[in-house]
Amino acid sequence: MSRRASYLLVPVSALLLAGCAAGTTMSSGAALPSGGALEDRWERRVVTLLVAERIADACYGQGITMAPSPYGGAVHRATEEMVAAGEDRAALDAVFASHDFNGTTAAVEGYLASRGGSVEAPQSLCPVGEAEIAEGSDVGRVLTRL
Amino acid sequence: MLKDEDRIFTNLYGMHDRTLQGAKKRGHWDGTAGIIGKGRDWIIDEMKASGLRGRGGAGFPTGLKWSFMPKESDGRPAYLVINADESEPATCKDREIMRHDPHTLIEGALIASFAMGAHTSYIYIRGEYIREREALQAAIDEAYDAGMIGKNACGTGWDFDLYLHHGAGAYICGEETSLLESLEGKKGMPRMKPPFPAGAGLYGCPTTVNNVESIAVVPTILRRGASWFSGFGRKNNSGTKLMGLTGHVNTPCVFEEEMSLSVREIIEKHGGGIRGGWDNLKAIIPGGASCPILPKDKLEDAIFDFDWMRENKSSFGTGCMIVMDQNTDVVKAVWRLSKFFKHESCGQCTPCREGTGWMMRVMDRLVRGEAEVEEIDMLLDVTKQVEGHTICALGDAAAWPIQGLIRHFREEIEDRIKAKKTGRMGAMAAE
Repeated sequence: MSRRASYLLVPVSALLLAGCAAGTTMSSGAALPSGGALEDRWERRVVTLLVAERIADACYGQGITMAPSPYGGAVHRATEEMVAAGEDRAALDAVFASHDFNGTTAAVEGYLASRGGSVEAPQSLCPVGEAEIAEGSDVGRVLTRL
Repeated sequence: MLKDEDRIFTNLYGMHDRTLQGAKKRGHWDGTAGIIGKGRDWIIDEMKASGLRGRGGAGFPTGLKWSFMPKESDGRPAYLVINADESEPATCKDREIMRHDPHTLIEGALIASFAMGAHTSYIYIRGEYIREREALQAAIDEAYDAGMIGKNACGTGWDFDLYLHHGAGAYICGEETSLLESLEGKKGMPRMKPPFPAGAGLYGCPTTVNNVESIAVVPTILRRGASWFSGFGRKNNSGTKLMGLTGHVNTPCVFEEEMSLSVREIIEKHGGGIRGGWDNLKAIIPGGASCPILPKDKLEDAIFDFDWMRENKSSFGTGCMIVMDQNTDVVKAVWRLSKFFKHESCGQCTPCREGTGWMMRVMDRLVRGEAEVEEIDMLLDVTKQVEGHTICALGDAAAWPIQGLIRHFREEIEDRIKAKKTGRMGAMAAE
């Protein structure tokens, strides 16, 4: 996918992520997206985790960190959570193998931008993290305060 | 290749649950109280018998190091400090323990601290290791909640506290005495030795500083027996080890393997071979940036362990190898290391503060061929003036890669200078 094409995905992915809080189910402590194709749900979860990681990377000094999880790494964690929720591992592995991560990165940046944050300005991510935790959003539930 | 049942690190790639529950399922925290119940002397004797050598790079025998700690307290507390400031370029083995298998380290910290009479241990983790800090802190909290550490740890009657301290991203803080300075809240600058940390370390109290891997392997060694561990590798180089392959191999990776395999076997089995085949190999840096470079002609029968590397004027270091194929500008590669050491010198010792910059500037000219052939010997002489004339080993670390380069690739440096003089080659500008 071209860089231009991946930018076109941003608003859609950001909207998907922003809207997924309403359509989630809890499973093993993980708020997994529901509805839509397997690839979309997996991507939304990966984006959620990556957004949280970006925030946690920048905001340790402000007491924001990733909440404990049995698995590390957004991709691996999303996969394991979905397998634990009954999804087919082989199908998820196939999704991973063919996935366009440029689009995922753009979705992460797009979501942060939609909330007023930017990875280029790490301090701008901390208010986003505070708001996500306060709202109890999917991103907020992946984060915790020290 | 090491059999799966002989692996100490069973979740190196994070494929399994890293929580306490997951760790227990994989055999960790099994019989910990029983091990502690055997007493300090038994633990230290077993560690000596295992032949474990420090996994942080220096390779000092771990059991012997522990035995330097006072048997009886003179009123001062004793400390175990775990060096998780893994900053050596190309070395990234401890991070896999901390982010995927943290309970091996926590259990090891408890047992090692008990063996040294320390009720408190600190883990000093590299500033850049953010995910690792989160995973490790979560595991420490879990261990406290489950009574594995804290008051009456594991029901042994031994009180043990474990603290995680986040560094601020300085290479020099991986040196044990500057690590202690940093932990005390001071600028990370090495201390003169003696006194050694075992006599006067953290806050002036008896302290042992061990690498993450050295501590994380302890519980499994004690569970399976010293003779099991010492059964791997050559005499004086025993055990299994986390190793790494970076650079021009087909599949760069971190893996656990037994000591004393051949370099070629390791590269081919774990790294998928050299990019372009074995004959395309130019050189390796065996165990981190500070180890002298070794060219291919030395590597045909090379054994990857402490003693072979030392006998061949290099160093096993951390066991994380940088592989360079024939396309590599080896002069520029070593120049880049010089730049790193110049940047990371704390500036306390004049030979290091001035020497690292001097060496980098000469290396810069050698990269471009804008030097005289005689300057190669002058550079070698400067490395000798730095080596052994500083408080810590950073000066040595800066000197050794250059010495290795001149020892093995002198012709390549001379060719470049001559080519530049005769206009046969365009200048190769350094970054």
